[in-house]
Formats: sequence, C-alpha cells, structure tokens
Amino acid sequence: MGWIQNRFEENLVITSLDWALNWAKSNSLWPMTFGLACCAIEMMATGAARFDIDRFGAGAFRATPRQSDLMIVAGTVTYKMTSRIRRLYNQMPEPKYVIAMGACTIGGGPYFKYGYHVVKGVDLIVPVDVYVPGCPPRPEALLEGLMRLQDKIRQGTIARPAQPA
Amino acid sequence: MPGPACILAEGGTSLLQVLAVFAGAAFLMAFGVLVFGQLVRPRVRHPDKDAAYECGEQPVGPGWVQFDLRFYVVALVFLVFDVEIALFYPWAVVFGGGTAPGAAWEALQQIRGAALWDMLFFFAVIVVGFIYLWRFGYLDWVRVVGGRLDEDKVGATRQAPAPGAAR
Amino acid sequence: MPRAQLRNIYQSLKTILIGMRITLKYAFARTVTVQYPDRPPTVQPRFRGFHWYEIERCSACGACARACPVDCIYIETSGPRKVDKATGISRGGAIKRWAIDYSKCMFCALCTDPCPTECIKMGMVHDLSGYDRKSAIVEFTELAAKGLRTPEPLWMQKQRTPEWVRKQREENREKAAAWTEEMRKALTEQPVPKPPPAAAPPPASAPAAAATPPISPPAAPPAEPEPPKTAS
Repeated sequence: MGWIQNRFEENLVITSLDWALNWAKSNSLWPMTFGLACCAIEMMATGAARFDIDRFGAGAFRATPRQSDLMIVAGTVTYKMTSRIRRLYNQMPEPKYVIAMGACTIGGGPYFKYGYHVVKGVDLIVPVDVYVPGCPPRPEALLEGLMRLQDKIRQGTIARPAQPA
Repeated sequence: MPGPACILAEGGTSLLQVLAVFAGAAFLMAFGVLVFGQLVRPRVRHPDKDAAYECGEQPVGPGWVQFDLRFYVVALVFLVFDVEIALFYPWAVVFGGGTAPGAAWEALQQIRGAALWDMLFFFAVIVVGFIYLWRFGYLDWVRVVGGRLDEDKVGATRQAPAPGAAR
Repeated sequence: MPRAQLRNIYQSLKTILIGMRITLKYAFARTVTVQYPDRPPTVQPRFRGFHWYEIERCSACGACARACPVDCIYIETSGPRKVDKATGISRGGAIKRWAIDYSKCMFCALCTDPCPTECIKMGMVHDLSGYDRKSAIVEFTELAAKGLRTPEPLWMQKQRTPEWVRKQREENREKAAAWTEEMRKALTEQPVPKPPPAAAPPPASAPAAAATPPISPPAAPPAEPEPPKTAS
C-alpha cells in the first residue's frame, strides 16, 4: 500500500483527499482489451457509439495490463485460460478492479454441470468486485455494473480506522 | 531606443526574474507531481509485474533484445529534423513580422539581419548532415555501403543478395 | 510528368474524397448514443429479462425445473399443491424455496413454456449486478414474502434514481400488491378447498413430483390436512 494509506485518522484534509482520489480513480477506469467469448461482443457494443462507455470515463480500452485499472472478464473462462488470466491480473498496477460479466464468468453458467473444461466462477482465480449476471448481459447491464464499481470505489478511504479509546 | 536585452522586459521586471519564475514553476510542477504520486500510490511488488508482457503467456526469454542498428539512425534523423522544426517555427513567427509595432518591433528591426544569418548557418549545418545521409544511403532501408546509391544498384542488391554484391 | 504518375495523383485524390464524403455525412447525422442511466433501456416488448414469478398460482409441479437445460431452478415444497381452476390460485403445501441461480441461467425461456399455470414469465428487469456471487441467486420465495414478484436490483434501491427507475419500481410493486396476501399464504400450508376429489390429485401429481429431483420429499410437516404424498 502507499505511504499515505492508514497513516492518518479521518480529518478534513484526509476526507478531501479521499474525495479527490476516489473521483480520479472512479472516473478514469481504463479497462483492458480482454474478451474471452460471446460476452465480449456485448462489451464491444458497450464501447461503441450507441452505448458509449466513454461517458463514464471507462472507454479507453488499453492493449496492455500495465496501463489498465479494470479487467472485464467477459466470457467463458476455460481451465487453459486460468493461468493467463491470473498472470494478466498480476501484471496490472494497483489499484485494480475486476468485473465478472456473464453467467459463465460468475459461476460456470450453462457449463456448470457438464462442462469439463470450464472454471466454476472466475472468482476462484482473481478477486472479483462486481458480478453482472446475464447470458450475455445487455450493454446497459454492463454500464450498471460499472456504476456499481464506481459506487464501491467512492466508498474507499485512505484514513486509518479510529482507535477505540 | 531600447536594446535587444529589453525585448521581454517591458513590464519592468528583468529578464532574469522572469526566467527564474518560469524555471521555478516548471520545477515545482514536475517535482510536485512526482512527490505527490510517490506518497499516494499503492506499491505492491510482484514478479509478474517485472516479467515481459506476452499477452498473458509465460514470457519466452528476456525483454532486452537487440534491435536492428538501422532503427538508431532513423531515430537520430527524426530527432535532428524535429529540433529543426521546433527552432524554425518560433523563429519564423517572431522575426517574420508577427510582432506588433512598438519598442519590441524596433528592437527586432535591429537584429533581424543577424538572426537571418544565424538561422541560415544553423540550417546549413543540418543540410550538410542531411546531404551526408542522402548521399550515403542512410534514408534507404536496403543499404548499399560505401557506394553511390541508385535504382539500379538497389535492384541488383535485391535480386542478388550474395555477399559480394551487397558489398 | 508521365501519364501514370498523373493517374496515380488523380486516383488518390478521388479515393480520399470518397472517404471524406462518408465522414462528412456522419458529421451531420443524428447521434445514436442512448443516454442510458437517464433514459430507460431500449428493449423490445418481448425482451427476456430476469423472471417474473407469481407464487400464488404456482403449483410447484417442477415442470420448469425439468425443462431447464442448465438445472438452475431450485424448488422445495412441504407438500403437493393443487390449482383451483376457477380462481387460478394454488393451495396445499407451502413453497419453502423457489429460487433461480442466475449464475447458471441462460435466459432461454424454456421454463416458461411447460408451466401449466403460466406463473413464470420472463420479466423486463435487465440487470442484476451485485457485489458478491450470492447476489446472483434470487430467492423468489423471499421476494414474495416482501410482496415482490421480480428481483429489485441495487440500481432500483438507490436513494437518488432517475424518474423512469422510480416508475418501473412502482409499477412492479403495484402489479404484485393486489395479490400480496395470496403470495404470503402460498408460503404457508393451505388446505385444498375441495376434499372430495382429493383422492384423484395424488396419482396425477405424485409421479411428476417423484421424477423431479429439486422437489424435496414431504419433510413430515406437523399438521397434515392432506393425504400424505406417497411417492408410489
């Protein structure tokens, strides 16, 4: 964690800094160009002109994990892909977030019972912040998922929890 | 009649003061952002972050590979002309009559001849470098070393890439 | 200048102009962006959203669970339920659990076709994003206890919502409000109103129930007004 994390208790300066940091983090969530299956088509639609994820500051799909803050796991996660997903997640710089998009990503989806090749949920591999069910979710649903993630980021604080006296 | 040193000093501040303020502001902006980021950003080390990025695959070999030396020449040529443009444009705007008539304009009248010859000298140096590059084929990707480059020879080199022909 | 060179120049200018004309056309065209959080989503009337489940009509026969290709519907009852044809209301054992796991569901709508009482339909809610994996499992029995028929996602529960969200939520609640009492009753044991033909239903419903894994066998309820459902 950074130097300032958990260093000061909550006061006016820290809460203002919190607001500024959370504003910066939540309004420039750059996703990684990372589509695994059919949900990626909906993700592309979300990025295109009609739904325009750029209105939320998350339209700059980066071609490398080094520049991205958000990993939208869009599609079926096969066992062969797990080590790649894990490595890509490790290569992302902090702070990093993950949206699990679609039924397959959340819990195996239609492949839960008979799919010998599908991971039963991407949260077994990387920590997931927001789950967006659907098969595939509508672009609006992905936008809602993004807004849930922004809400979550805005709750964050760098203040040290108050010590009970 | 004001001298050339007063071009930037119409408001009463000396040139040195103005430069100092600019230098200080530039230093603060760059250094302040670096220090702020250093204090605020989370740092989590991980071996994967130091590894080469190969689309999530296990990286094969290190990222420090040797590039073709010709890229270096191209980068150098680009740099030379980039600096030239960056210098020529403000020079052309200031000395080409873009300044409003006044004290500064009269000062410009005095030094414009010298400025023209200065810039021509600078340009001549670069042109010599450019002629050198052109003459010895550094602008061509397929190079013929130590000879005059023309279409016939490039064609010959491409058709017969034998060791003797390339030389 | 040689002819070929002139033709090259003409060709490149022409193709650039063709491309720029298309660009110019789109510069003056109407924008297509949907202002989503401020305007409702643009879905068709037959949109297959998250389900709409009417528990007071559900006879818990398990036809939907059998039809489900991914086995994502979980049903548990305490006894057989029977539909009153006049009112369309089912009575009998309590529906202890009726849930859909949206981490498996693929919105094929195959569950709505075999339902004899048409108590399960595809709803119009388009999103159910949440913060944990359990939020994707919707317990429709708990929703019915709250007087709801379709999940109320997080974006509907927020304090400050656009006008259309408030409207959609109130519409959903109003549609369910008339049947709230019946919905509550369906969660508790209800005697089937007509005892005389009670001998007939068990053979009809018992094989179906027995063949359905999600329906739990009657878990020895304390008061049994019905003849016990013996899985032949």
